[in-house]
Amino acid sequence: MKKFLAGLFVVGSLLTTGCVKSPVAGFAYTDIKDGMAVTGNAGSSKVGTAEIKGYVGLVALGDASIQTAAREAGITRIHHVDYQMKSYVGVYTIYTIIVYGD
Amino acid sequence: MTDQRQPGCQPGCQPGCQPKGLIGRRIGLQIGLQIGRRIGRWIGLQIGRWIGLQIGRRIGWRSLSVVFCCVGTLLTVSGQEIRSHYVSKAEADGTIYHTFPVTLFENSEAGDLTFDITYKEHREGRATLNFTCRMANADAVDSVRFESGGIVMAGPVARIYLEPEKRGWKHRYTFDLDASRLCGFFDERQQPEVTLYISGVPWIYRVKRSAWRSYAPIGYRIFEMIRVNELR
Repeated sequence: MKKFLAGLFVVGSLLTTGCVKSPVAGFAYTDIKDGMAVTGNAGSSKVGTAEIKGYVGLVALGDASIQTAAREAGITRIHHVDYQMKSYVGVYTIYTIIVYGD
Repeated sequence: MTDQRQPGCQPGCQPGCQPKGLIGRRIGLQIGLQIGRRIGRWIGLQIGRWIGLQIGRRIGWRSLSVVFCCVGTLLTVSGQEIRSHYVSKAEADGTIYHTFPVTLFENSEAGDLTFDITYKEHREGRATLNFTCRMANADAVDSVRFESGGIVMAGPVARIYLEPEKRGWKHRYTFDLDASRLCGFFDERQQPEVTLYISGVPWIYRVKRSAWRSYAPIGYRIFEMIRVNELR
């Protein structure tokens, strides 16, 4: 039982950190920002965010689509998209999409 | 905007009136809330205690406490810095700053109010505050008033979207404000409040004290940093 629980914890944590698009991710602690997409539209005056939260690698909830993030700020022309990811030992994970545009 | 009628009043009633059944509904709501909270807390405690005991027996209290200490330390350290609460991007026409959404205000009937702030340099000191609230119906908010101590930021709002949910409607609005007042607004000693006006009827959102005490210094430091950077 002890091995099963430990295995479950490790697999869950790895699954959580494994969803990071960045080539670098930490098992114990992750706090990264990275670029996701750039368009040819000029400048940005609005920023919208959307996020997903994960718990113990077992439960993940949220909507981190670019469309949702853009809608939160009323963005109709996207300039570029970034994302950031935080993970604390895989126990608590936040994945945030950040959309810049007009 | 100065109409002080209670939420739920019928159109045409006088300021200060108590709509029929409102007092009873509020008392019922409060009693229900208290009972629900206590039952929920007790159940949560029992489940938490049982899970803690089971995990503690199987994994061992020493290793478990080490994991919790690590997570606690990381959360505390990251909570004290402002870097995790905003993003900034240098662009050709000035740097754009954005604070992540934060929930600091609540209304006992309507629920929480979540807001985020975007500021771009060289735009005559104007910032954009977007906020989300939930209402029982789709009546649009006309204007908003953020007040903290002597600092008042008020004005009309523009609707971003309204979306039906399981219960009621999710409202999302944007509001243009003077960014120079934001440093003064984020004063942890104050008890700020937000008032939404729907057809002239005020809906008051009170501050969540503990959330405000932890976030106000961060908000202050973010907008102080923006001010200093723009002066350069």
